[in-house]
Amino acid sequence: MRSRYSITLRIKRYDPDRKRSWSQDYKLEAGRILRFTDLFRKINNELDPTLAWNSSCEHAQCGTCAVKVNGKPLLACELLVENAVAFFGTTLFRVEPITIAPVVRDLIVDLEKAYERIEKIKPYVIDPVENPHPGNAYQVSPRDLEHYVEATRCINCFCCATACISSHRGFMGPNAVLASVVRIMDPRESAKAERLDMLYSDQGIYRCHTSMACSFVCPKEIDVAHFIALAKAGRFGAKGRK
Amino acid sequence: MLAGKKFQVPLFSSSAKIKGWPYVIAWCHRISGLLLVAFVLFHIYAIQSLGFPDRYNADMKLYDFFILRILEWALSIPVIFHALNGGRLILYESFGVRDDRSMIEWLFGLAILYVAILGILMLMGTQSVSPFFFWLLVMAGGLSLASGALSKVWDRRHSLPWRLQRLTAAFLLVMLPAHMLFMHLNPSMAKDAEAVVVRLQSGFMKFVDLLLLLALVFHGGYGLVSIAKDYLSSRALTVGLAVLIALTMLVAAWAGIRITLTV
Amino acid sequence: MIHLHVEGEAVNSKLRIHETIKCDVLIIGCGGAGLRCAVEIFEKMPGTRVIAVTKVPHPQKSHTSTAQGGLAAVDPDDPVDSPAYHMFDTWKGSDCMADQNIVKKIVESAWTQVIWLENHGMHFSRDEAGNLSKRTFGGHTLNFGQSSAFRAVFEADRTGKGIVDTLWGEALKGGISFINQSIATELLFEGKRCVGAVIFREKYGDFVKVLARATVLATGGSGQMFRVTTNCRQNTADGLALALRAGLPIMDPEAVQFHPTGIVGPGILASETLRSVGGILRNRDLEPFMERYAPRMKELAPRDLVARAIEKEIREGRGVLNPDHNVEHVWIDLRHLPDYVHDVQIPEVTGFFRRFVNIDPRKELCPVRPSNHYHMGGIPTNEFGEVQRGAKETVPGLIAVGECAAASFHGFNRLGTNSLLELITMGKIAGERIIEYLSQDPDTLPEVSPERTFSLFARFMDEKGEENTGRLRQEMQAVMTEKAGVFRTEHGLSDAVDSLRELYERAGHTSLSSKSLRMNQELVQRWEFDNLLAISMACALAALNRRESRGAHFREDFPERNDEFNHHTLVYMSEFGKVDFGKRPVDMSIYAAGGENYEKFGLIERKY
Ligand SMILES: Cc1cc2nc3c(=O)[nH]c(=O)nc-3n(C[C@H](O)[C@H](O)[C@H](O)COP(=O)(O)OP(=O)(O)OC[C@H]3O[C@@H](n4cnc5c(N)ncnc54)[C@H](O)[C@@H]3O)c2cc1C
Ligand code: HEM
Ligand code: HEM
Ligand code: SF4
Ligand code: F3S
Ligand code: FES
Repeated sequence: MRSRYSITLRIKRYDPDRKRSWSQDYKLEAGRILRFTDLFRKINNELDPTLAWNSSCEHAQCGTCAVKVNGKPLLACELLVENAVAFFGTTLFRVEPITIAPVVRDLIVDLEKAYERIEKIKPYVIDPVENPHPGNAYQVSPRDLEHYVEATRCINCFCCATACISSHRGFMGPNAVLASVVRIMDPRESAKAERLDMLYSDQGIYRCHTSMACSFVCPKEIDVAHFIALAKAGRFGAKGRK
Repeated sequence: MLAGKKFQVPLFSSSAKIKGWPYVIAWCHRISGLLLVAFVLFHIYAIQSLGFPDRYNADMKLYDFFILRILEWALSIPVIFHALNGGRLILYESFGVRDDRSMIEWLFGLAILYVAILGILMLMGTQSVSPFFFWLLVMAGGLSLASGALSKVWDRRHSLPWRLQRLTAAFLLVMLPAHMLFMHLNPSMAKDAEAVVVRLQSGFMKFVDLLLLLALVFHGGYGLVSIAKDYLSSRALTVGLAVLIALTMLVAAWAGIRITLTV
Repeated sequence: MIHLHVEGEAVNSKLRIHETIKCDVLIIGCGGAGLRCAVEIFEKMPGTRVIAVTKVPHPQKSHTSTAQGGLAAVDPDDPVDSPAYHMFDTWKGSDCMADQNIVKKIVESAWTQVIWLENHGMHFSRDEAGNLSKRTFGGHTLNFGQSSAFRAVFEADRTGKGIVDTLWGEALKGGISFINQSIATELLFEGKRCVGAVIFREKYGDFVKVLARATVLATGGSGQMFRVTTNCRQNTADGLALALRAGLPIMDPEAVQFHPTGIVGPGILASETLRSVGGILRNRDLEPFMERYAPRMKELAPRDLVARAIEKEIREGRGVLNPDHNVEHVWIDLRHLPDYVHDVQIPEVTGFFRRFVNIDPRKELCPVRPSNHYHMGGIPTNEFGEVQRGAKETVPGLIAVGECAAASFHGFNRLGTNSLLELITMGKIAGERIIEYLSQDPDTLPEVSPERTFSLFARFMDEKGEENTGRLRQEMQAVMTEKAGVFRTEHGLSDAVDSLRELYERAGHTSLSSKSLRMNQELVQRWEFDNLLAISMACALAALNRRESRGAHFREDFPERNDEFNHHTLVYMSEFGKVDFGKRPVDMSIYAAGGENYEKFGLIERKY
């Protein structure tokens, strides 16, 4: 096992003041289990403090650090140098911002814009069903929960949306569909009809072509395409409009 | 059936590595769909000369050129690929068959088989089958497949055009490969204007052709609109393009219907 | 040169208020605490104009989303557990420094708040009957320390994410306005009343003034003071620094908790759950050493004890060196756990090992070491979350909740799962308090101008020299980790204070590579560094001042607890390194009330 690597990051940069974009090479020496966020920090500390990149938790749990590396959308905070070299079979990495919202600077995109689509599907219980035991928790069978608990793990990193064959103009995106499906399957939600209407709309599942890149790239390994297909198969509740 | 190694197709594998095989295949599906739309438009245009048998026969002579024969054969690739993959998508989405890997393997396998058989037929070029019998069987297959799909996609929440696209897909899955097969079971069946015209005297054959035509025109038109919607964000532009596509398809349909009914 | 000069001037003229926004409530920080407060306001007073600011690109990216293990709450239907036990555990854990009025209030409202979250759609893990599952957690016991209590409800190993998702959704439903990827740079005052804050919107590179009838500080932790931390990149003690700069005190800054099992390298937290499901700590010789340090609780002993035990093993040469990050560590052994545990109870954590250090915990030992985790200290508040100017006097219009506040529920050592509990209970209580404010206060907002923001930013813009903020920060983190970390001494702390002074000096010689205001991370990091330095200094000086060991604060030269220090430290800092100390007595109202078992709430010994 090699312990150090000489790698090159070819980073796509953008300067909002001059509206100029270019790509820049950074050559680094890195240990095998350094992560790409560590590399970015290293660039800031040693080579170029102006490089802008985003991260928050650095635990692969918030989805702030998503970037494209050699075309693959992923979380920079969990990509180890060693794994990257093994996976891509090179020590030259093209790093670009995800393509889901306008770039603010360098690797930072306007996530607020991206989130607008999640907000549209109302990521909360719109109208709770009546609680049979007021003042207590609803009873939710672990069997029922099992069916959709995977989908609740989404951290809105937008890797799936970046990879999706549908460009992101008319489509709410895989993760918004996922968030919708969670509440449709959640026995505590009563506003199923409203949710299904959103899902079965022009921005909804018809823009998905089952290219399944979402499931393939999802860093949380959620089978997104499966949940979208459930909606296409009409698996949610009674058929027909209310 | 096909081991993982065989999937290392040079052109695609790097893309498959980044976004997965189904993603690459989705692109192939899209491109084959576009090719087929283009072909259908050209094809309907070509059939227009059935009204003038000499011209039709002269046009068809062109196909005897080696290159054009190869191209004709090559057409079976997008046809069969798109058909089988479309079938796979319907299985995945509507029938809950989610084991994608083996489905993709089957898809590749069957596609290769079909293309090979067609090639052999084209080389032999001497069979003869009763059209009526052939098409009766095929129609039965196509319609039963479509009705199978019907029960699955007929959730009333689904948008009507979407449901129709799935239905036409299921119908075409049988009809289209059969159409190509048929035309090559006995080449003169397709290349000789007279033979075609004679066959089309049968009401049943007219019915088969019209159904094929309408299914195709709708399916292809919807497919184009669906692609357009992926890329356009402006509503006005989307509606404009959808109208344009619909008009084109309507004109094609009209031309097709006219020639079928008049010969 | 001329070009640069012109650009510089243009920049300084950009240092002005771009827009003034008025609202009812300004919430600074959108983690669990800030959002819970906002939602309470919407529930009770729909239509209130609430603006919430967050430094991260979106509220969901707040640090609370990372919390894994769970949330402590006593279920009233539980036949064996009782709030009294939870209060006792918290009190004992705090090393007699939690305020008992707060402890009582939070513990007693805990279950209601859990139910509230569940009813609003949080996806808690369930038991077979469909009720909320519960699990044990370090330091939580039955019958005053007799056996482990099943008291933590959880959402698999993403409890914090569940909370943030639920609260963010509810806040959206209520009609909140978010200002994302923006930092609060200054609190605004009219006389003694807080009337809002200045916000620097990084994305646009401009400053807005938000005038509010009530302002809430919920800026979270300060983990970036240390080299190895579980905290997120944004936890740079901003809220605490804002308070200090406004002449307000911070309380117990020396009370910093170290999580015993950070994953080597990134410092990512390997949750307490690993120990509660049966993970065993081993040293270089594979000896299960916790048996020596806490014979009864072993791996389930409170964090500070486990952290010190590990640190001690390492110091005494029984640690293992990781070459990549050049850090020493011990092992946590998960190999004997059944697949079910790996798959269902700790998938995310075992995933961490696989992802971040390329190790399979089913087959291999996993490297862990103590890393900074939680700041018990913070902005002093009363039991309603109102910020205090001194031991009693509060600041009208200013509330602080969450990790940046010190009420103080955790005293000198926080029990696992008690923090999330604090967020959702204190967030709600603060919300209620604000509603009272809003119904009393006249709806007038004065025009006040920022005083410090522009001079501060102009200073950063004008600084010249060769230093690099990132590198300086690394140096600071190393100093704090070594000298003000798990083990502290008089000598080490004085060294730390000197080093911090020097670093402050050197920070004046960083020159920004770009003078742009738009998404200029270097500029923001420079500002954050100022905050970190200030709080590190406060921490080191307060630690120096506290000549005893208590909870997470361990002085090697004074290893015993000393009743003389049985009070909170208030630290005021008029300029860098110049501090005044104040005291706040510890509330012992449960003890004083003399009810059943009151003697358990006296100055008891903390032994497990
Ligand atoms: C890895 C990990 C696991 C944990 N697990 C548990 C657990 O299992 N159980 C438990 O009880 N506790 C746990 N904790 C502790 C708990 O998560 C935190 O104490 C808690 O989340 C803090 O919440 P908060 O709302 O106060 O702050 P945060 O969630 O940190 O939110 C702070 C907010 O303030 C914003 N902000 C900061 N500065 C500024 C500024 N200058 N201007 C504007 N906005 C600003 C940030 O962007 C963010 O939105 C864990 C902590 C860590 C690190
Ligand atoms: C032979 C049987 C056929 C089957 C089973 C079939 C099936 C399908 C299916 C299921 C889709 C939807 C894919 C998606 O979700 O986007 C589709 C799309 C499409 N089809 Fe077909 N199809 C067939 C024939 C044809 C033919 C003959 C044409 C050309 C006229 C055509 C053109 C298209 C186009 C353009 C699309 C859109 C592709 C995209 O959105 O990427 N199809 N087809
Ligand atoms: C290269 C092989 C093909 C040959 C030789 C061929 C030949 C013909 C002929 C001779 C007809 C006249 C009607 C009849 O005889 O039934 C016809 C009709 C038709 N073909 Fe093909 N065809 C071929 C491939 C295709 C393909 C690939 C498609 C679809 C993508 C297609 C779509 C149609 C349609 C829709 C009609 C009906 C037109 C009408 O009724 O107006 N054909 N084809
Ligand atoms: S589904 Fe997966 S890839 Fe998509 S946003 Fe959620 S976590 Fe990211
Ligand atoms: S990648 Fe896109 S096309 Fe559908 S299956 Fe996933 S949403
Ligand atoms: S920084 Fe949170 S997922 Fe990478």
